[in-house]
Amino acid sequence: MIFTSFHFLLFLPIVCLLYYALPPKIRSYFILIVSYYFYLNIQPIYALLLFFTTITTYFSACCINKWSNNRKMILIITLVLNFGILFIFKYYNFTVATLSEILSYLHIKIYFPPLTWLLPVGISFYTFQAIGYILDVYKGNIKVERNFTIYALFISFFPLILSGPIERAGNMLKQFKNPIPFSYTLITEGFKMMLWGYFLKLVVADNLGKYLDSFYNGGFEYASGATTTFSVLLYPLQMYSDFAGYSLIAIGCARTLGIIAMNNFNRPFFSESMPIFWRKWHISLTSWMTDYVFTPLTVALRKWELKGIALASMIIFLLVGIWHGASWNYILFGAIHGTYVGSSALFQKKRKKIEKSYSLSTKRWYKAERIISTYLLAAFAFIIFRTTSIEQACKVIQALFRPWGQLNHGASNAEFFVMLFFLLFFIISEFKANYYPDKIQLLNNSHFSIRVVSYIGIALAILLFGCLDTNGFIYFQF
Amino acid sequence: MDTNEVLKQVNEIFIDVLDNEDIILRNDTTANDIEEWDSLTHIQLVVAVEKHFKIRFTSKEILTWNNIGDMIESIIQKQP
Repeated sequence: MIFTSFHFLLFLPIVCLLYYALPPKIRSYFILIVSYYFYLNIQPIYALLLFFTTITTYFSACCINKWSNNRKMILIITLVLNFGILFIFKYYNFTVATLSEILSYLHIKIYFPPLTWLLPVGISFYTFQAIGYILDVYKGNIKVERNFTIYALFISFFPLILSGPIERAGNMLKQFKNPIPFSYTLITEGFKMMLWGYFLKLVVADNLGKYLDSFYNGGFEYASGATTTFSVLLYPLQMYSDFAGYSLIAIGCARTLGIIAMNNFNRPFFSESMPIFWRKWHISLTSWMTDYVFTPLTVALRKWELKGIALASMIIFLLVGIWHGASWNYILFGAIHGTYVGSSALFQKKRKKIEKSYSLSTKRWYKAERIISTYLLAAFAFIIFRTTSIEQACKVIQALFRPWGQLNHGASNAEFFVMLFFLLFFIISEFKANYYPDKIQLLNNSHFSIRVVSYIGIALAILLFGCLDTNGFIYFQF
Repeated sequence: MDTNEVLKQVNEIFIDVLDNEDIILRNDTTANDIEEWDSLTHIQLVVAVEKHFKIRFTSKEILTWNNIGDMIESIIQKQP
């Protein structure tokens, strides 16, 4: 059962109705059962792993709190256990394949049997969430949670379990402990977010996907320069509308149950630099990395000043790359972003000096140039992210330099124009939300009639132009 | 050196490092209140403060600061 399935559209309203009908005291038990039912519906056997992560981090946190002498050892064991599971499922095959390759260069032949297990859905997300909790307890940022139901719910909460946002215990535990009374405002907000999320995913992302899949699944071999440029420029928007759409559905779904989850995107493609881009893209992952890895690392490396920051940036983005999966493409994707952010830190002072001497920061053309440059840098790194091997990525980059030729979209004209129309609509709505947040409201208009027309219009767009046979979200594979 | 004097000097450091003359720090100021104060500039501020006051914070101290007031308190504790 995924968010775009018919089953889920029946499941959520029933869960909402029962949730508010039950006394607040037992709501957490109910949502915990529902969350496990939701996860068991997708991968029954892997619910055991989810439970294992829950139970180990729960008891470790209690022990860290109780036995102050051994707290460091308990923390290390918990981290090894949970990262160990993540490693086995996600990185074992890649590591042994790389190791075998290195050993074969040295004429040493050792056979490492590969594992054929499927990757448990959401494992990277809930493992990071559980580890964030244990680190917060260790550092004394939050109190240990003794109520097992509340803690198990924090790890398995069904709206967020599959692809985040990677939540923090500090925000969620108190909300699960003190469920708020029925709130019409929160519920309508939640459903509006979900409607817009479905629109982004099914209409914008999936129509873009139809076009881009044919390009990336071999089309780049013979594509013209125009087709390649167009595809490379569009992929970041597909990725964004897919993942931001998913995040909105997840956050909206949580909100219908009175739970306010953190925002995961904040219009990243209006960023004027790569560090700003990463503060607005997959916020829950980057803020996790910043709080638990980057900041302690920069503190430790501070004697090297800017070079220490550049080194820490490279390490952090390599981790971000690897977090997405075990492949050289993701590692290279991380290294490219590490270079972008690290060099931005190294040259920040010089850039600011130039900006000041020519009063550039007040000029619109300069801001526009920086936004476009940031987008182009992101689009370049996304080539590596989207392709399945470094060789394929090189071929796509080479194809950018082919003769311009004709734009071949590999779809019917009608399909192509539908894609362009909704893409343009999406870009305009993003532009409006970024620069004129209070102007021309659709879903939040103060006039009831305009709101209703907007709901119907978006719902019709989803039904008529959405790809309702979608195979899932891009981020489910992570 | 009293709290106000330390706050005044730290304010000057923030203006210089973040290149923003409009910054006015208070004890409850946090990174959310100043646009230029992010995870990249945070450590540059710490290094500049350490150099200016000729002190060295421990990693634990730095990681537990919640606002400017906490930083000022650490500076005062390290004053001879």
